[in-house]
Amino acid sequence: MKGAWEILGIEPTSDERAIKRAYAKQLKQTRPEDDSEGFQALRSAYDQALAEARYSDYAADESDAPPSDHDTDAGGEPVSVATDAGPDAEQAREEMLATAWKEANQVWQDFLETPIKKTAARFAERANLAALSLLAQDALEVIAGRYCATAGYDHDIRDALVEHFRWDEDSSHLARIDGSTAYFAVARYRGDMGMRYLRSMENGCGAFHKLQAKTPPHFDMDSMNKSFMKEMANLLDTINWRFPEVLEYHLEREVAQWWQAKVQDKKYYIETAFYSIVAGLALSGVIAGTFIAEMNALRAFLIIVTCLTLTIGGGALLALRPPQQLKEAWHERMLPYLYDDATKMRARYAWLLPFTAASLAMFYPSPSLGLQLTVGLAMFASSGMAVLAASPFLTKQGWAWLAALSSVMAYFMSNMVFPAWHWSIALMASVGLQCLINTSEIRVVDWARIGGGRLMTIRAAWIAGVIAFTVLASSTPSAVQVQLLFAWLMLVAGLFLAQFELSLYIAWPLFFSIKVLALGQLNLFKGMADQRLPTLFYFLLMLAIFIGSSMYRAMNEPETATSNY
Amino acid sequence: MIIGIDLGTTNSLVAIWRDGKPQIIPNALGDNLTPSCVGLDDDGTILVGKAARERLQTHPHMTASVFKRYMGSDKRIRLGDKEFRPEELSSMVLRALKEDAEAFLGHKVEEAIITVPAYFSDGQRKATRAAGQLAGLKVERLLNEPTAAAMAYGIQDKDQESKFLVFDLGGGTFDVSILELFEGVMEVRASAGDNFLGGEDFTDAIVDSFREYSGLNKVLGSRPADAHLRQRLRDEAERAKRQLTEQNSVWLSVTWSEQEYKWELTEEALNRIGEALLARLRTPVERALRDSTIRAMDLDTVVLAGGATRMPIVRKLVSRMFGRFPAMHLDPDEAVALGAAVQAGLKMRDAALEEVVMTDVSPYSLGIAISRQVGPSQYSHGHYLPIIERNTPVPVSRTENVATISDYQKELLVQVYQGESRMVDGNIYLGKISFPVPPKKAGQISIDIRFTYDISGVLEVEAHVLETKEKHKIVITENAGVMTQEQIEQRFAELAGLKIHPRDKIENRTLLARADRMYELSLGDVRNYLGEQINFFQAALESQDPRRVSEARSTLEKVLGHLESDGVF
Repeated sequence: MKGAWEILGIEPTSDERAIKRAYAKQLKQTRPEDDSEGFQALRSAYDQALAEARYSDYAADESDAPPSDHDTDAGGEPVSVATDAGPDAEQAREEMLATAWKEANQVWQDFLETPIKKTAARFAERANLAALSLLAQDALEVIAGRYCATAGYDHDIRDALVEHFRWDEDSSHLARIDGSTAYFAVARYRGDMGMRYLRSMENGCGAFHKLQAKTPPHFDMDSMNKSFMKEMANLLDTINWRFPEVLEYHLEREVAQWWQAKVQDKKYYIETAFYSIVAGLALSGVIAGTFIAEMNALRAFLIIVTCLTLTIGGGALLALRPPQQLKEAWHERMLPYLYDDATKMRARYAWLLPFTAASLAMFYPSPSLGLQLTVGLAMFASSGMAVLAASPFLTKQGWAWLAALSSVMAYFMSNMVFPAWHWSIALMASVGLQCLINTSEIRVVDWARIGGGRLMTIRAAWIAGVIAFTVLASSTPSAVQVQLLFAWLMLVAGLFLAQFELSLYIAWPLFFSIKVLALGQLNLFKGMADQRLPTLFYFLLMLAIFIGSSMYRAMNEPETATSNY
Repeated sequence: MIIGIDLGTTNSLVAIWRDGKPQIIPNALGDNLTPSCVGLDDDGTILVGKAARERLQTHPHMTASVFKRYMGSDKRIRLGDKEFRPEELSSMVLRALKEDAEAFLGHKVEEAIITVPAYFSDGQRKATRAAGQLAGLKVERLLNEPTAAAMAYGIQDKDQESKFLVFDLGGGTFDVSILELFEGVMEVRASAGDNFLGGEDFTDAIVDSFREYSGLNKVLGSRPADAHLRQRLRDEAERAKRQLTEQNSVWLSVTWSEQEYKWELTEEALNRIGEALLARLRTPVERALRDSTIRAMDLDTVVLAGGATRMPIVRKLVSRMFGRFPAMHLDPDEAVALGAAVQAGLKMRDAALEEVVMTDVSPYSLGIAISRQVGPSQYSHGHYLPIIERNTPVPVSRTENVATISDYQKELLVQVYQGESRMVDGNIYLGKISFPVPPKKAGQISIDIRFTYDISGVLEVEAHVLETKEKHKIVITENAGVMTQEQIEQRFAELAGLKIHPRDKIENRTLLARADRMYELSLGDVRNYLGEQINFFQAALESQDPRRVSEARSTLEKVLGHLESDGVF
């Protein structure tokens, strides 16, 4: 790529005339109608050279006054423009400028002093703009601009002027003549408009009131209130995005910064503490209730409660405040790998094979310890893979749940209670699954696409099948093995068809219903030696609940269309 | 030989570059100006120019004028039992000019440079090209009218350096261009304009005032004026407008239903009537100055072009705006055509013009519709992102980068617009292109949109998806209201079948039409006398004796001349 000066064929200079001459000379060789590419290159070289010439050698010209508020009264004289014409032309120009400023000043004084309502229409009338020369109009704009840029302006007059000159839409003309005036006039205007808007807002007026304080508080009880902080976050976003001038002119920067820090600092809200404790108790209750038949009730219960409260607390801590290095390492190393399409494809479906094999192996009659271990590990590994592939979809709460559940599983592994940790692994796997298959359209291979309405039908049919099986299974225990196999096949199909998403609102009904079932299990399967059936039963039921909830959501949300922008 | 044509709203001209300077070619009647009027004669032949203009009053349903205002739209204009599109009517004017040039030069003419208002939209320019094609002319280049006027002025001072503003107020359009001439380079810095502001609008304003103050409106009441009356009013207003250039006041008089209606128009009154129109003249001037970043006091000259700048009120406005008197040493009616001839000379690489290059700009911004972020996850739709800003020198290529806004969206739609409004609703839609994008989270797919605008005003849009390295291209050719290539070719064949009034007989035909018009306007004795004179002339025509015909013609011309100067008409 040739440099700009190279294309023009001259040495870098701030002499505009030399640049123009060089451009003209080159233009005769590369005419726009003959050589489009060449002309474009020449033209951009010309523009670049002119720009460099202008800024590398500051001419004592109009718009480079340092940004400071004006204290001048509306009558300042303009800087004269440097010209290189003869002295006569120079004098003529000076005269023209002087006349224009005189006219403009007259009009301005007249407008200010006459006792009329100060509106844009009146200004235009009063100014009788049709009679002014263009120069005088420019001068008038500068005078008006300076009025609006200095503190102490009348709001009505200022609004009328902005409406007339439309600086809020395009102030570049004024900026060319007097840059800092334009900047300040527009900034003040925007600040005032912003304040008006924010005052009229309904939501967040409490937050806005706090924001208008003179000094930042030491501690504010409201910063622990989740809904208040949400309002404050919205308000700060609105101000930062749309009304930064409000911050400049009407609010104390320190106060805003204090609240900004509070918003960004993920603090423990009162609600968070409440939810964590309740969740811990519920989960412990569920698990305790399920296995109360197998171990010393009270001991188990206490262990579980302690364990879980610690893990949930720890998990929340981890999720909310990961150490900086971990975060960075995650972003730089793991995320690109995880988001890579190939990895996602592999992980998305690769875990299915070992999971299926391991699950089927669990039906092997009287399994040895080795088999149990293998199955357990295989289940664990495949669910781990599932979780990894699902991680792009997991929210912070999701991670917390996973952490909690995996420690539960670890605990039970040490007890070597086959059905128990198998159940936990299965639970974890399903959690991973639910985040994994997150599509509204299943595409196994391109031509075997199932989407939209048909998918809903298939899911509904699947649920009906599962319920029917549940009913049948309990009534004919002898044919259980066959039915189990049948159910298993349906399960695998269901995994493909399910759409899961982990969120607090699904987990809650899930756990409560399982608790209820756990209580019921004591009656239903008390006599059964084989604990694998109830395990599978739970699994299927959970799946059914997940699918049901996702169908409910899908029915209430509009289908996301292919967007335009 | 390439000819330069000024296809104006009211008048058209043709000129060539010869002997080192531009020259206007007179038409069959010996006039430099050919009225842009087309009419259907009683025997079904097509009349173009003055003959049609005269018939505008006597046969308003068979004659059309001011059709330049409809170029680029689908409007159909009726002439008798036939319907024509505006570009077809324009093509007839172009054909007449072509024949005038061929008669003058003595050889065939195939190529032309046609001028268009700088502010003409894409569709209007395409319609002008279509008109050229229908007239059998190859139109390599459309030239902007103010640029043409500038070239006519600038070519005289090739070695000078100056900045000037061209104020071109024609019959139907208003254009402002600011140009800089240095080292033989004529550079357009900025262009602005109003496509619906011209001398005709002042005429309309005068008509409205006349109807009001002469009492005609009271008599008419709620009845609409018929076409004859309307045309008569316009002609009278036009005449008055022109006379005001020399006089301070003028009387308008229209006879209708045996009643005469009169009103005096003074220059002051015209100033009042045209106040709103005059105010509209300021806006493009201000916009052009702002865009060019040249201040009014840095201009060396203000150049006037277009017939309507003869009006004293316009000249006064210009003087007041700029604080100096404008340059008027070229005939404002001819300046644009002369400039077109200069460009034709440039194109032919005439040796005298070797040292001159011209660059022009695109007068309007071109961009796409986008959504802007107004909050952390809030978007506002329908915003306009200009990709090529107005007054960028052409040819030009500019690129902007956009990103998707919805998670996993699969398709991107790029809608192309032309205009200056902040929201696309206020701009003109040109076309669209849509293509698939890999579904990813919002903002992760970024696309480069490249606009290439060439010197003939053809826009090419190219979208480059950075992830997949795919490119998608579209050339904006389809416009609503513009004929497609197939349509043009079809109509070309159809129009060839239409009979045009023979050129050598047009002089007589024009005179006859003029006499007919004056006959209609007159009453009583004058009318009888005129009728007799017309009969004499027609008898002479039928005899086909050339000497007798030319004698009768000069007699009738004298008669008509006397009647007109006596103030009867």
